[in-house]
Amino acid sequence: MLKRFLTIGTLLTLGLSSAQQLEFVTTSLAPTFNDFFEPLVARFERANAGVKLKWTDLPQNAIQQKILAGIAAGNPPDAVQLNSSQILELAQQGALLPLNDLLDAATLRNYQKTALDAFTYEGKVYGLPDYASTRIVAFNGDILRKAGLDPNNPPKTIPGIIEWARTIKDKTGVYGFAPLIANVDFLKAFQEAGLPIFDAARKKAVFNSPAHVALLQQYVELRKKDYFPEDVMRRGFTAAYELYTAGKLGIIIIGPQFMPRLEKDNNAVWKATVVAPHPIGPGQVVQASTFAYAVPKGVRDPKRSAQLAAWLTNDDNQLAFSKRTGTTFPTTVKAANDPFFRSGGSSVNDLARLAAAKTMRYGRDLTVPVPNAAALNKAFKDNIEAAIFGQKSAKAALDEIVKFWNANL
Amino acid sequence: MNARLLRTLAIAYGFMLPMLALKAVYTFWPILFGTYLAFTEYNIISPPRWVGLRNFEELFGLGAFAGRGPDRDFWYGLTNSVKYVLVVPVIQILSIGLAMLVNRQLPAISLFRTAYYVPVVTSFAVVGLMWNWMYNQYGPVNFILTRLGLMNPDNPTNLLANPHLALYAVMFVTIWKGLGYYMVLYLAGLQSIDKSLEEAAVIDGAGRWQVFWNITLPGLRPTILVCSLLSTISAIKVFEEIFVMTSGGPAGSTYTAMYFVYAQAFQDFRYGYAAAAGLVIAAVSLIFGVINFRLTRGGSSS
Repeated sequence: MLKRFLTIGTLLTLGLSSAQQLEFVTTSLAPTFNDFFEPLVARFERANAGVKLKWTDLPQNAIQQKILAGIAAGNPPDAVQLNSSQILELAQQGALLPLNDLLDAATLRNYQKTALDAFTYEGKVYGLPDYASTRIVAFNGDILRKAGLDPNNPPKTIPGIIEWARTIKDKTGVYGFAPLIANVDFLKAFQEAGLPIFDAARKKAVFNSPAHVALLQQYVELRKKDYFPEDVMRRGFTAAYELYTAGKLGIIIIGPQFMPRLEKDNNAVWKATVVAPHPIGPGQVVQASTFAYAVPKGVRDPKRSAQLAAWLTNDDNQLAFSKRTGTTFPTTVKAANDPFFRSGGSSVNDLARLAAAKTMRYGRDLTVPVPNAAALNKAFKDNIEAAIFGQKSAKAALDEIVKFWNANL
Repeated sequence: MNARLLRTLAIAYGFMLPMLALKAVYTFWPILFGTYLAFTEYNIISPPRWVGLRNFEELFGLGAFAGRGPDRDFWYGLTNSVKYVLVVPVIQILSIGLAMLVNRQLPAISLFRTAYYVPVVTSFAVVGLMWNWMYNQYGPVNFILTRLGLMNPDNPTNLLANPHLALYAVMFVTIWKGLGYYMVLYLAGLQSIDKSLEEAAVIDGAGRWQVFWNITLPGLRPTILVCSLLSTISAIKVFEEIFVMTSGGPAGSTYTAMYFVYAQAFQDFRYGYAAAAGLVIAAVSLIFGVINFRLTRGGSSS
C-alpha cells in the first residue's frame, strides 16, 4: 500500500515538474558568469512559484546544431541566446517562432529599434536583444611616441587612423594597424563608410560602384606596401590581438571586453594603452555585436517561452548583466540610458567602457543576412582575398561577387 | 553443411557480435541513411522529403539546373581534393625509407619509432595550432626559408596566406602527421619478409640497391597496396587540416570537396545536398582505389 502511494506520489511530482520546467540556453557565458546566472535563476523561481528554470551554456559553434537536434527530437529549450547571423540563419530554416504573434506591442517597444532590427527577418521579430558590445580604438602609447605621434590627440576618422598606421610602420617598422576585413567583414567596412550593400528594395546587391571599388582598392594598396599584417585576412581579430599583446601592433580596433584580458596577458602593453571611441564615418554606424534570445519551433507553450525570453531581457536583468560585465551594453531603451554607462573610474578598462558608450548610439549589428549564406559568403570571401593578395583587380573582384550574389539572392 | 561447421560459424559470429553490433549502429546504418538522404531535401527540423535525383542534377548542372551549370564550388573543391592525392606517393616513399631506418637493431631504436609516431596520435586541433605558429610570418618555417634564400628576408610572407602555396603547405602538415602511421605498417611489412631471401641474394652477389629493388620492395607490395589505398582515401576526404588551418582560404585555394560537404550541411543546413556530394566523393575514392589495385598488381607479393 505504502509502495503504491509512493509510486503515485513520485509520478505526480515527476509529471508536475516536467510540465513546469523551462530551459534557457546561453552562448559561451559559463563559468565566467555563473555568479550572475545562478541568482538570476533563483530570482525567476521565487517570482514564479512551482516553475523550475534550467540554465544551460553551450559553446558558440555547437549551439545551432543542438537547437536543431532539440527541435527534431521534440524537446527544444524555451529560449536560446544567439548572435544576429545565427538567429537569421535559423529563422530562414523555419526553426524559430516569430515573436510578434506571441508578445504584445508594448513589450517589443521596450527595446531599442535598431537592436530589434538586427533580429527582424521579412518583417517578423525572431529575437529579443539581450546585450550588445561595440568596438573602440586602442593605441600602444610607447609605439606612438617612437613614431612621433601624440597619444593624447588620436585621429577621429578611419582615414586618420590609416594615416597614423602608415607613419608608425614607416618610422618604427612595427605594423600600425590590423583592419578587421577577414571573411565577410568587408561588408561591415562598406556600411561604416556609408556605402550601400543592397538597392532600396533589398533585391539587388550594389556594392561594385566606383566608391566601393575605391574603398577596397585602398586596402589592396595598403597590403601591397605591407602596411598591415597579411595574417588578419586569415585569422581576423585573433591575429590582431596576438600582435597587439606582443607589443607588435600600434593600433587595434577592439571590444572593450578585451581590456581586462589584456591586463593579464601583457601588463606592460596594457599600461601603455590609450583608448578612444571608434570613429563614426559617413555611414553614421559602427558595428555592435548583439546577442538575443530566440524561441525555437516546437516548444511546449510558445507564449510562456516568449515571456521567459522577455523576462530574461527586461530592463533590470539587462542592466544587471551589463553592470556585471562592465563592458557590454543593455539594449532596452530605459536600461541603455542608465547613468552607469556615462560614469566610471580612470583605469584603462573603465575608459574603454566609456569610449564604447560614446558611440553606442551609432551601434548596429551590421551582419548582412542572405539566403544560401555558405555559397554567397564564400564568393565574397574568396574574391576579397583574391583582390587583397593581388590576384585580381578590386573592380573585377567586386563585379564578380555582385554578379554571383544577384544570380543567387 | 555439417553440424560442426555450423557450430564453428555460430561461435565465430558470437565473438564478432559485439563489434558487428557497434559497426551496424555507427557505420552501416549511417552509410545507408546517408545514401537515402542524398535523394532527399532535409534540414533536420522537417522530415526528409524525397526529391529523386535533383541533388545530383544540381551538382552536375543537369535537368532543372542546366541553365546554371555545375556547382562550381563543389567541382573546384573536388579538383583540390584530387590534387591532394599528390601526398600519397610522397608519404609512401618517405615512410618506407623511415621504416627501413628504424628497422635496424640499434640501441634505443624504439625511442625513434615512438617519436615518429607521436604526431599520429596528436589531435588535429593541436597540430593545426602548432603549424599555424610554425608557418607564422616570423615563425620557424619562414626563418629557414629566408636563411636558405628562398624568401625575401625583408618581407617574409606566411605560406598559408599565399594562394599559390597554401595547399602545399597544408599537404606538408598531412605528410608530417601521417608519416609515423605508415611507418609502423611498413615496419610490420619489413619484418614479415623472410630474412633468408635477402641473405641468399647477398651471397649471390647482389648489391644493396638490388636487394631493395628485387627482394624488399616486392615483399612489401601487399603493404604498399594497403597503405596507398588508405592514404588515397584520406587524401580525397581531406578536411580536418583545412578546417583548422585555412578554412578553405586564401582566395579559396585550399577549399576541398569535404569542406564543401561540411559547409552545405552545417552552415546552410542542406543535409540532403551535402549527402549527395558525399556520395560523389565516395565514388571518386572508389575509382582511385581501383587505380591503386591496378598499380600494385592486386598487392600479390610474388
